[in-house]
Amino acid sequence: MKRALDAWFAPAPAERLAAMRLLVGAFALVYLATQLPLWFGDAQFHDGDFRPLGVVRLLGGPLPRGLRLALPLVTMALAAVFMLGFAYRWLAPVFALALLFTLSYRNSWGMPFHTENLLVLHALVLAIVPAADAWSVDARGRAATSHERYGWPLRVLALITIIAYVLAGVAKLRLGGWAWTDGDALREQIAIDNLRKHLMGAPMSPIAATFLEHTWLMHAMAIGTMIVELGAPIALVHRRVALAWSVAAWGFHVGVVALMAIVFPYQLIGLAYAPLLRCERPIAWLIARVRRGRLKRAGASE
Amino acid sequence: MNATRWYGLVVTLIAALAVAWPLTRHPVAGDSFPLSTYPMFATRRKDARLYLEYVIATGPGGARRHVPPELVASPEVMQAIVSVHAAVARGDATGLCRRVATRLAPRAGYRGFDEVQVIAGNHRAIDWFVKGVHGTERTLARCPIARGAP
Repeated sequence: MKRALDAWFAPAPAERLAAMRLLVGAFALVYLATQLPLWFGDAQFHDGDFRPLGVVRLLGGPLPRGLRLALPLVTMALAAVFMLGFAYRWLAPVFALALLFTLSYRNSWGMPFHTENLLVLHALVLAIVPAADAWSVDARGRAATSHERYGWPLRVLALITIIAYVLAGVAKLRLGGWAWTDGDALREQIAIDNLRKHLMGAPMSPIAATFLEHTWLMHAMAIGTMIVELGAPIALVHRRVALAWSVAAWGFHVGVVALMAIVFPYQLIGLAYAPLLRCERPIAWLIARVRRGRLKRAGASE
Repeated sequence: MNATRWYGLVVTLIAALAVAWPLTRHPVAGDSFPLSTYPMFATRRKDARLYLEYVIATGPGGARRHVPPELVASPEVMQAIVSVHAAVARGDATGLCRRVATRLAPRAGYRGFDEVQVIAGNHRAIDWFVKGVHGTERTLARCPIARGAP
């Protein structure tokens, strides 16, 4: 027990947790910005289609138009503050709750999007842990350290990702049993999804039809999907295993894009797997490069 | 155990239990946000049968184009599907048809089309792609694309 606890609370650099704050905040900001046309278009938000999910169930009905338009804008502003790490202890939870409400509201019109769950869950955890102890306004002038208080939050973020994949695998088993791995269900889903897109005048996969002709390919893909989903907990064993699993899970999402034109942006960018990896390294490299450039320019001007 | 570990343990347990909690619910009926059962791609769809309401623009000489989701209801395909289905279910297929026709009227890309139709299609998706066999269609509403005098 003590050994398990020590492993869970193993120290990590403050920058690693800060990197997750920066990455999740930046993603939320850009994601909401790209969704603005949807929020400003009224066609989707027909009062009769309102099916409240999660926290939105607290509302008696749809929000007035002005308030609905304000939701993504306020959340974007809070995402910027979250990234900067300003008054983090107070404003980070406000951002996380705003993101939860905003995306729950967007998902409350008859169609829940499974592309946004991990973003919200990760933001909620990051908001209540010391993710602004490095690379933030709050941490200016303070030296970043390595401590156990930065390690366990990363493991919680990773655990959330892993449980989500396991749940997806369990749902397939509960609904289709092990017969799901014969590939027929996957083949049907791919065919239906592409036909739906075609009939709705949206872009569909250019290669789906070819894959649908080869049932053995569908069988192999179904087995691979199940291994990635139910085998997700193996990523907690070791960093190298985590990297291998992350690549496999990422590949699964690439396959989903190729065969169904369904984009899981949080997974495809790699943020879902970032807590399993040394995600601070690219940002540290970027910061060091900017600093070197500044020093060089300062030296040249003297 | 120190305070950091107690806090970490509490947050870890709450997060794990909350995210795993959908296991206690039905995979499809119990789905929610952000705590999901993740039922996507899980269900069998016998014969890959697809009943779907969609919107097309038609023109002289059999011209036909499926109207994209952003001109029907939402840039999101799935959201647009839900919106079209909801409109048909509440008896508003004609209203939807007129709204789409109004959106298409000023668009240069739809100059060769003069009518909008809301269609209920019944297709077998695998047959469609593998054998090129299309199912049946029923027109639920039709309306002209009214354009002002040039």
